[in-house]
Amino acid sequence: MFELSEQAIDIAGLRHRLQDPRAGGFVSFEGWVRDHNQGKTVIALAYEAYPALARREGAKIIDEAKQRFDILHAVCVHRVGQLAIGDMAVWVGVSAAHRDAAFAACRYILDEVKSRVPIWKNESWSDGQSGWVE
Amino acid sequence: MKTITVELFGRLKDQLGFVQRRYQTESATVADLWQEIVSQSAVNGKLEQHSIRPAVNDEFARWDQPVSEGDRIAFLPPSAGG
Repeated sequence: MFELSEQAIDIAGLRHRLQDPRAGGFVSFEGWVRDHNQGKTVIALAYEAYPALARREGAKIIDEAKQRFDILHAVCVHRVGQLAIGDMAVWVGVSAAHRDAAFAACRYILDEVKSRVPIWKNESWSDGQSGWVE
Repeated sequence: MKTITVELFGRLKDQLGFVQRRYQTESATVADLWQEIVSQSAVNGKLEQHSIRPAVNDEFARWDQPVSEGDRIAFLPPSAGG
């Protein structure tokens, strides 16, 4: 499952979707908004997506992870809209019978989402300027 | 003449000065349409076609894809999520 969310990401609800009697554990990754990037002090940022295409490409990445790795369930949610420093921008969770596959699939999903899902970041900096960061 | 809708995302909105626009065009392909849009705009900053990806009707597309009546054609800068 891949979703875009305009609200804060509900980790408890997502974690529940990964639970399975066959699972030996789950791995998750949280991406947070940090206060610096490329030498500038970041005070806030906004994510913009191309929703139809982002959802389709995100679902494709989840399917790929399920084919490549011996996992049970995988979920990724990416925020859109205005975010503050420390807010969660992305969450990936993967459950599996064994940890190696869960770690590898979590890494795969995050890397692919960052490079392939059409989402863009507009940072606001402490100097009063803002701009698109790629 | 075909009537299509062009959508821009990310920095391309700032660089070309619009978000969404209806176009009357005779461009045969997505690449031709891109050249037409760029030539008609006061481009702000560097605009390299190789860094941009087109999409037609909510699907990633090739630059040589034909432009058809009613198409919704989007131009996307490199993704920057996460």
